[in-house]
Amino acid sequence: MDGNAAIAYGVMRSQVQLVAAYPITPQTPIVETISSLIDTGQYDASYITVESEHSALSALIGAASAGVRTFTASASHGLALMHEVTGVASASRLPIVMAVVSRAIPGPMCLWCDHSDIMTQRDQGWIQLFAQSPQEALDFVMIAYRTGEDPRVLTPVMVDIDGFFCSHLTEPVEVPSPEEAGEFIGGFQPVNACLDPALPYAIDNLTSPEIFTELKRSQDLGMRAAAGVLDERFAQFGQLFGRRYGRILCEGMEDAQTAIVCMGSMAGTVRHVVRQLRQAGQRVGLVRVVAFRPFPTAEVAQALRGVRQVAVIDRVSAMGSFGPLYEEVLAAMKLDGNQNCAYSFVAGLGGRDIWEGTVEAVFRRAQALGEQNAPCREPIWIDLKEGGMGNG
Amino acid sequence: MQPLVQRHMKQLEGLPPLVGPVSVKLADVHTGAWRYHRPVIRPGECVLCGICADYCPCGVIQRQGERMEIDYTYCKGCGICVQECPRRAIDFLLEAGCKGEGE
Amino acid sequence: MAELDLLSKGLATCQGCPMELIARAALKVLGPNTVTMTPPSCAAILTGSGDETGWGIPSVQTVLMSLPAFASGVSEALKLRGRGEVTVLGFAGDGGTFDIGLQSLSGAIERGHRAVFLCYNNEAYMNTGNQRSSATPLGAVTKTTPTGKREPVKNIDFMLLHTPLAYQATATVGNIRDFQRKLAKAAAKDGPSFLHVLAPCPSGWKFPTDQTIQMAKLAVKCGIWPLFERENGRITLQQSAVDFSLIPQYLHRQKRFSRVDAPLQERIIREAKARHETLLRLAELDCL
Repeated sequence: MDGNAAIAYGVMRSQVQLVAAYPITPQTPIVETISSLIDTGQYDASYITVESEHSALSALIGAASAGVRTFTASASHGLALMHEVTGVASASRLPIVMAVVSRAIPGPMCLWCDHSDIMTQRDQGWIQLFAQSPQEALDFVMIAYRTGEDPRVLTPVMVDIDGFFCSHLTEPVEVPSPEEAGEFIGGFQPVNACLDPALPYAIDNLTSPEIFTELKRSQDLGMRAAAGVLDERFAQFGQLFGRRYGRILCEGMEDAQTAIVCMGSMAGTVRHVVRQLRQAGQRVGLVRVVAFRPFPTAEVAQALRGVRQVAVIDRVSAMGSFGPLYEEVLAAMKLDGNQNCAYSFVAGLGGRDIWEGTVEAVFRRAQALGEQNAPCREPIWIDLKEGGMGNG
Repeated sequence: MQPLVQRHMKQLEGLPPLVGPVSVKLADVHTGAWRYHRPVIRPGECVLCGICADYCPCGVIQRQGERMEIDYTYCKGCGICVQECPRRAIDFLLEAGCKGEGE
Repeated sequence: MAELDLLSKGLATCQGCPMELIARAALKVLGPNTVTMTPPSCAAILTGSGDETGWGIPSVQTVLMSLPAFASGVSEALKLRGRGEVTVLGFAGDGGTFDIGLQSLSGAIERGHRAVFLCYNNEAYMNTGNQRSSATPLGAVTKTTPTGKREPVKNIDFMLLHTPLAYQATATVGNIRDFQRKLAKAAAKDGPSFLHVLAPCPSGWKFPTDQTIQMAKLAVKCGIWPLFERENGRITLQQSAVDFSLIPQYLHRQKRFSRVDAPLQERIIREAKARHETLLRLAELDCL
């Protein structure tokens, strides 16, 4: 089963009642799988075949406001088109779940993976979970519902998988039975405002400066509460299904001197390289960020204590500045009083493969810079080719 | 208080606290203060056809027994009722010459 | 008819506002078993601000681009919850219907959700202070057409003739009973309905506030605003006698047409006649 199918099965096992989505490469198989599961009677749900991504999320806001469990999926252009309404969904405190199958945001036009799409949504008030494999994709969808719907949280969730690297990667996936899944997921009961003729209130009204700040703060508190709730859900999920997750997942960090911090599918490659290098006696490690929002500041800081040089790989370029993950990691380290070197790397843009060689190059460069105590003046484009910038 | 306000309040009593932008009160602006002219129905000439009430944008005209009554707390004084009355039975008086909100 | 008003009386709409009248008259027909939604527009004044709302029924403030998509979601969710009998009323202006909201409307109609899409057409973006929309008529002055609009309106009624609407009609505030009769029909359909209501706006069209209803009546009488309904494959016109010679009067009574000269007036009359003629011929068909 590939990552897209795993998401579709995760949606079915989460007993989602209403799906609205618009096909876009590389997310299309999710749309196709869900609609065929519904169409063939294997899955009892409503599917609204909307005419755009903007309408997909708009329809979900309507449906979620009327008290049903909802899902959508998108990528790149589609996510950009949704931007207006992603903020509405989170401010309305609707626990919608969306799968983002990451694909570079144009331009130049590109079908392949990087995180420039989901990073545009960084501050839109959605919980963001980065899955690495098809199995995680399925598991995280279920965890997403149980987290976002928690009365302490009431916040929508994005589950991100990397376009093609995970979405089209076929691996054995354990699909829980409806009964097993049901034990974890439970039925859906709206706990917040719900459209009902008996209760004539207005949802999402024009908000004045008098209460806007307070509503945003309440949203921020919901997001912050999600950290603890995620921990509870990961633990509960681990007990039931034996697969253990956390907001960060580490490899070799007990004694690492050089560590890579990264997210998404590249973490699998980094883990593989870390294991190999450690066997060869190098003290390297990996800190994989699973929950980018809420950001696990304390956990990352703790994991990086005593690490001599930290290399953060962003699969996106914040042109003219540093990558978003790097900025978070740097802030976490500084807040922790950790003055060790942290280097920003850009890699894997527009579908460029982050293979073992890329990871080894990152380790080598970070070690070399760290030995000289060199400052990080700008991101290092580690997989940049010579020439070719004019496309000539 | 408008009957609607009362009903609204009643329904929302005892609701659990809601999060997010949810409006639970009825808008109740004192729009009567906007008025320059006041429509006044001449009771003897009114035939209770109800057309004034049908076309009042603000819903401030209602039949009360054998007369049509205008709620001056909310009447903005647009003059539509004066214009639409088929019997021309509504005067449009300068507000400055009227006393208070009661007639 | 509901005993209790379902819209507050104290609302900050302009004096003589036809939109408020449309909403009020609509709720008298639909009753309390209704959920409504408004985009950012003059209608958002009804939905209110802060912790206050004008509606006595549940409402959602949507974004401008996708009210019909919101309505699609609400309609399907209500069905899932066994509340399919609740009327879903989309209440948008010409901007949210003709322009930025058109794609979403076309999608919602094609998918066949049970909802009433009501467009109160005040023929410009009035909430932002009167800028032209594609519903602004030829020759009308707005803040973005200071010397008069050079293009005729987008005829949304004709555009929608070949969409799978369960019911389609035009109406005006000039005849509230006719509007209410049509809305009752629309709400009874198990599918999407479109109701296009002319809303003469005293502030934007520049006429005295007591003339709102008169202006709508004149629009119908002079043939600028054809009244018709489409149901079961047939178009029915509500008026037979139209006096096109009243068009100059219709134009002169609104300051927004102050820039219309004789040749332009001729063109406006010509186009009104053509529209009417088209409708008369369409009314002979039974395959619409």
